Amino acid sequence: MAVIVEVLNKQQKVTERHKFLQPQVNLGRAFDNDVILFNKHVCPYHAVLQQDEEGHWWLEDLSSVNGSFLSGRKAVVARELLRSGEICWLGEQALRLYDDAHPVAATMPFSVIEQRLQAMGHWAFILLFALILATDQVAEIWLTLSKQMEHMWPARLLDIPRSLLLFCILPAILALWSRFNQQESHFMPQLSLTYAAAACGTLWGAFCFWLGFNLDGSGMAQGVEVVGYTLILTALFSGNFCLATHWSPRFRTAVALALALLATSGQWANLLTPPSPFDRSLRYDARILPLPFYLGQGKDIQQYEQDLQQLFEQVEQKRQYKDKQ
Amino acid sequence: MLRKTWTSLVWLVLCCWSAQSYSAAVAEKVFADYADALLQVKVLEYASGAKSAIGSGFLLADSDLVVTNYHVVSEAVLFPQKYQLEFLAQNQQKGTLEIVAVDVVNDLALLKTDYKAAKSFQLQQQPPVQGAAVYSLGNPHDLGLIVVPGTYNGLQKHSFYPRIHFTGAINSGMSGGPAVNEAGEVIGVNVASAGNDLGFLVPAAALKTLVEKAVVSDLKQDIQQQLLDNQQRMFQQILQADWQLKSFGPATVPDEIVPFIRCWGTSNVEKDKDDVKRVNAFCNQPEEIFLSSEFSTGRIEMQFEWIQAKDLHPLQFFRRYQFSISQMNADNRAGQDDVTAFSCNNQLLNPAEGQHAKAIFCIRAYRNYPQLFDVAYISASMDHQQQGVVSHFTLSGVDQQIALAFSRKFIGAVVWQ
Repeated sequence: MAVIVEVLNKQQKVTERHKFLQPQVNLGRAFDNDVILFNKHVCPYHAVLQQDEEGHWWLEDLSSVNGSFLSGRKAVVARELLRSGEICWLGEQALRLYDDAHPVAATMPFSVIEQRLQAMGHWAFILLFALILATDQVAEIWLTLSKQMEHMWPARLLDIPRSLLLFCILPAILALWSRFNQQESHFMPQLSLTYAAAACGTLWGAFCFWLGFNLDGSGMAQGVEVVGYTLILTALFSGNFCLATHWSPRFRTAVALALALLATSGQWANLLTPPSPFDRSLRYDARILPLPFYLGQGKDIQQYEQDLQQLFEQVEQKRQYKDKQ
Repeated sequence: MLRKTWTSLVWLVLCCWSAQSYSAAVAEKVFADYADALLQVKVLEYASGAKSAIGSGFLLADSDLVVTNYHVVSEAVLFPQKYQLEFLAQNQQKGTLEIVAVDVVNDLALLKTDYKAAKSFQLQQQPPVQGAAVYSLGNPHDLGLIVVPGTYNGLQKHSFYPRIHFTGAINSGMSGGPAVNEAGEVIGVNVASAGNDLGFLVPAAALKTLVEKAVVSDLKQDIQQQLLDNQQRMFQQILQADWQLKSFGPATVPDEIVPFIRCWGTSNVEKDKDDVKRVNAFCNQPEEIFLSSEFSTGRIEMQFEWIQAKDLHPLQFFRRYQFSISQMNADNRAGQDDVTAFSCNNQLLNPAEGQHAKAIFCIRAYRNYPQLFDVAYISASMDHQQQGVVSHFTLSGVDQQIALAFSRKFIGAVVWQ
């Protein structure tokens, strides 16, 4: 029965894989070993793997300087039995042993989501999303830059490539992470995904501005806005992890949601904490657009006064509620 | 001719000298006669035993009560468990004081004492004539009792509350001291200073009313009633007045609707570079009612802004317009224990047929004075693509009925022509 010896790095990722048909395998730094190790704390002739008549493999330490260990840092005094899949250490060098009958994980089918995400890495998509982002920023400059500040146009426009570059940081980190994990870097799909999420965010922001204006700044509109941002970020992170890791869908969604909530925690806090009486500045929604953007009718004075009476009642209840506390 | 001029000059110098020495002599006499009846009022914290506020006070004849300002003793009124009152007489005699009645609107407090003075103060029955000599007594900055001679200049104009305009230096710590005429009769109580020999006194009439008022059991409830009555009186005048409207760009807005509301205005018209023209008008009733060191009420403020764009896209204009309505603040000071947080109503409103405005109406309730609220309102007209009028008011310490009546009248007054 053949034996497979895996050489592992510090993160216990496989760096080499050897298969032997003979019953004895020599391990050490010397060049006449079967598995030649690099680690300077390993002896030239450190240990031997031996198969007994029943087919079990034993690790024998050859009186090495730094010793050999099994899982749980159990020292190998003379020789110890190794089970298939078990990790052992020669000094600090980790090895894993498998016999050839050891089961392997099921074949992972192509994931539709992953394929779609990879397809997003096409430059045309990246350009489209980048254009949406740039248009939004140009619109913002156009809306806010006053006449006196017209000379600031070029400087403000230069901010656009800078912000587009800033969006590259996340995909770059994810690509590096993937490389470390010996997977495809997927930089372009990650970049495309990030731009897409940012573009969605700006479009959602514009829609919520309009919605908030139409719903007269109601708390519901603000809630919808924050939920939307959280969902966009969850989708982004979930996609990122799908491309960069082999996590299960449930796990990566959970991590993505947690990260998204963390990223939007300021907005959530703003939405959920009651205003403080210490605030001299009042908290209200001042969003306003030209009248044609308003779909409703508006209220006449009589209806308005009824609303205000309700407001007085609510505030009076709040006062009494606090008194009771 | 020359001789005549010399003679008149000598006469003039003599007259001036004698007038001055006369005034000084009267001041000395007043001070000597009444020094006994002048007290320093101290607010002491039980826990530390240290004084947290000082002011002046005086002993009133007949009733044997000590008069001072409410703002001097407010801590002892609001937190009787935490603070006590003490007096220090000219002869270094000390003793405790007990609050009998307060008038927060006129900033007066009456205190009970067992202290007796040889001669205590009487109230003047008739108001003095313009230019009459008045002597203000008190203990400025804890430096010892002094007398400040000055002149009576009638009641303050443009003020809702009757206040005597006194030309003389009233300094911090003299609050609550009496201002007397040559005979030593009290014409008012020192209350405030606007610097540069400009002082204000609460007229003796207000003090007389307070002395004659029936004794109340619950001071806080009494204060609430005073605030309610006061806003009722003030807004009755405002709501019954025929509001003077002035044209303000394309609209009309209220002007100085009652004598105690004054208006000012500014604009950036001359600055051609700006892409929006802004014209501002501002009206207020600036006098506050002191309730505690961090809580005041009673102010009224109205503000209008006409914004006109030059060659801006409507979306660009409305972004600038939004900024104008995004920073509304409360007009009066209040602490966390004094008020609830503001709650707002946000609504697109039709103030008149075919007109539209975005209106934001915010209120907060007074925790210790039920039925009273602070109100802040701002609205932006929306019927034009390139120009708009922002109208804003804040009221402090009003009840629901008055807040709504004022809002109705205000919204009705701001109209496009």
